[in-house]
Amino acid sequence: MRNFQETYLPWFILALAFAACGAVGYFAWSISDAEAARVSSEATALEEASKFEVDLRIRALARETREARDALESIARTEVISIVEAVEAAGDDAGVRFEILQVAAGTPIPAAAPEVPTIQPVNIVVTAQGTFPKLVHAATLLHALPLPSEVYQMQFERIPPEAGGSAGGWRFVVRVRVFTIAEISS
Amino acid sequence: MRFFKRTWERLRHAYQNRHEPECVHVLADAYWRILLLTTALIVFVAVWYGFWQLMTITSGSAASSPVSTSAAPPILDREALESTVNGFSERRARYEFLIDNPPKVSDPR
Repeated sequence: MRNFQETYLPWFILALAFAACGAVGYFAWSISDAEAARVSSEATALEEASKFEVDLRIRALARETREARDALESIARTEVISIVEAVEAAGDDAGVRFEILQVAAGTPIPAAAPEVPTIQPVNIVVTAQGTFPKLVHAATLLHALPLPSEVYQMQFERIPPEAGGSAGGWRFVVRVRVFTIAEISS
Repeated sequence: MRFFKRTWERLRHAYQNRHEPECVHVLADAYWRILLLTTALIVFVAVWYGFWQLMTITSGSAASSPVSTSAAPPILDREALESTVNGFSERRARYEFLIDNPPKVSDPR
């Protein structure tokens, strides 16, 4: 019996030591696994919270800026017909009859993002005849058109009497560029 | 220092005379003490490492637990939008003003 103990007890203890080492390894592995799972779930929760927060902020921003966005939309999405009418109205307001020589779509300005509408320039050539103060008044009104527009060329010339012009007669040619996001059919 | 030197001398003597039972006892005693010391060292390092890992996890989760409020760049600048709309309102007002108040210019002829 004593021989048995002396022979097998150390082996039994060695096996026990190996088992203990294995158990330690298993626990280390399971703790590491749990830690990875916890980090992953924490990252997911953070991402969801961040997404939810961004969503809430966008909704609040959309709600608070609805009126301003609608106003800007109505200004920017002006149809070509309305643009021409606005230009003609400027002539009427100045007491000058405008003659629209040309209305042409310019090169579209590429949008910064696919969901952003493309900006289409509409180039309009206007000519008119009249007295100098009235033409200046008309030019001033064209400058101040309540549209996203710019006057990029303006030319005044006096009409000589021999060319059929009345005394004090002037002619001007104005090139106006109006920007719109409305669809322009070619 | 003297203690270590004496111990070392004792151990060397015991090893040189390891066939003597008394010396075997000294060697076995030294072996047992070294084993105990090594085990104690391993236990101490393991406990220290475990505690350090636990602190790392705790401090890491504490640092990352608050929901990050550093948000993505705003998709819409409210102030820019309002200033743009106000700019068009002012432009309309200026247009209306100019209708009734034409600039005072004389014919340059």
